[in-house]
Amino acid sequence: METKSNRNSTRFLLRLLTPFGLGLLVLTASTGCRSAGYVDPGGPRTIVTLDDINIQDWNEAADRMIDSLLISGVLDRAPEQPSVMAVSRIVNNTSIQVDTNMLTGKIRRDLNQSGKVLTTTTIGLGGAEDPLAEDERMYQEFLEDRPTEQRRPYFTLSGRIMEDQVRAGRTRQTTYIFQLAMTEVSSGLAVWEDEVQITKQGTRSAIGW
Amino acid sequence: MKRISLLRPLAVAFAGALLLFATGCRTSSVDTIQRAEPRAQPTVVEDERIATDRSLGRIVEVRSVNEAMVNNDLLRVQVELRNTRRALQRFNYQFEWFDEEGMLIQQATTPWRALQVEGGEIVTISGVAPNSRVVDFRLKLMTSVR
Repeated sequence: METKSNRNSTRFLLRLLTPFGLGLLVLTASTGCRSAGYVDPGGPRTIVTLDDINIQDWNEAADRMIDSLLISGVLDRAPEQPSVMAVSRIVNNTSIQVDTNMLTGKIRRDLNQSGKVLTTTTIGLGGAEDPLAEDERMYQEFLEDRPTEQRRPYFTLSGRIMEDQVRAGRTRQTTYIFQLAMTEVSSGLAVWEDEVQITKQGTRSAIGW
Repeated sequence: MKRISLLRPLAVAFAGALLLFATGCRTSSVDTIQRAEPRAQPTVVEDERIATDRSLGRIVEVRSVNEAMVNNDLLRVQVELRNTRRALQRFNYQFEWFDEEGMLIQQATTPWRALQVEGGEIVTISGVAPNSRVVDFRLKLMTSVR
């Protein structure tokens, strides 16, 4: 027969263990206890952080910019199709170090696949992106003793990445602002401009969104 | 001897959850006003729906699926959704594009996009085909994984 003392001890133990058990359950659920694996970089199970531009942020910014550019119709107005585009300066005004190719690389590839734009790799800010191609072109000119018919860029792509950080108590909010402009070289006019804002809010990083 | 109740921790947890719900998940439903007889004449797409998430079907209503051509060569699809609940809901969606032969067009960026919709709000999502070979599309919709 169970004594009163035993019953009290059991209750005490249960009382002690229940919050631990609940805590452990919550911790397990929140951290996932997962070993490393692969996730789709374009999928919704990537990590979201407040202090970085995550892969999904680059993807979304690029995707929305491409949609906007294609809808605008400016690419179809170039006299020669597909038109040639060169990537100019993308200024990073955020507090973090980023490779702006994360944005422009995706835009270039998708525009190229659209069949509306070709990107030059021998004309670029601060020199050719592909120095070998440029050297070969110059060598060809030397051998043939006449200038090669190199297509000059009809458009240039420039832009800026900015950030805005605010806080309310423990909750932080970071907005990354991506601004891009397409300039028609002959007129010097920005024939297309757009801005994508991506805002993240929370107290800590999370897996999935 | 003082009697120890096991229900107390549970009651505290329940009260905490209730408090969180009350402070963190306030409902704010959106009212919508629009022209009684819209002048726009969209090209409506007859769609087929494959529903695997019953709860998603109850939360979101697909009001219309329209299509148009951008500059006469790129397919643009626009889908109008309505959050049928009073609370904010988070979804993710992705467009996929197919050519004449039904082959999926692979793009550098075909990411899922996050979408948050206030209670009762009607939102429009759209996608533009990556090239002129695209004739078909597929829209995938899921609730937020968090």
